[in-house]
Amino acid sequence: MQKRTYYVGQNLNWTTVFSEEFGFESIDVYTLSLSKNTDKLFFTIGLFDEDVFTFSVIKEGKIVTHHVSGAAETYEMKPSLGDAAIFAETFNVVPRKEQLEQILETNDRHLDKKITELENLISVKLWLNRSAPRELRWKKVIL
Amino acid sequence: MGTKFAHFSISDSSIDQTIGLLNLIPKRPNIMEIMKRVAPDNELFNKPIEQLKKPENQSDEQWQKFQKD
Repeated sequence: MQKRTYYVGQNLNWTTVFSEEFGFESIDVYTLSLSKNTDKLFFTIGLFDEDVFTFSVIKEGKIVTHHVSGAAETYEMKPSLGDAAIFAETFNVVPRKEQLEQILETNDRHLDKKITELENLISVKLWLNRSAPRELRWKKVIL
Repeated sequence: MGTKFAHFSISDSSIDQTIGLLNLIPKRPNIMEIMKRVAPDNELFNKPIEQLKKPENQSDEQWQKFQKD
């Protein structure tokens, strides 16, 4: 069986797992599968060619809320506005729920800007290109 | 080419605890589960196999093999 490389790092009060094999289309499926084995809260994020942005909260094998924006239809995906109240609670920014809602609702093609604004709001690192985990010296795990 | 990435994060879990969970991630994702999420309106991934119509460009033999698989 082929091995997979993961990078694991502390990300505020979250532990983030990055793998180049994860994609926006598969990250929720992998995470749903993992979350069935624990009662911990998960969030996922995916970006594809600055075309599609996905953002989900997952718990105990279920999607709690799911956001899809960008050119989702190009990939047969349905655009979906995530529940800002759930995201705000998840990231402990309830007083800034409206601001979070505005960022999610903004319907422009600058998904990189949307991710940066979200990062600034929730103070959790979201933008992770393939070199970032190495630069951050996250723990490399091959399984 | 643009940027692409995907990752997940887990709350209240140390790095070592999280590494302990990584063995539970499937080596290969379930393609049908992915397609159901990515293309929820595509009937190919969401209708029982018996309810799908045979595509015109497929032979009976190919269609039977697809249904069986």
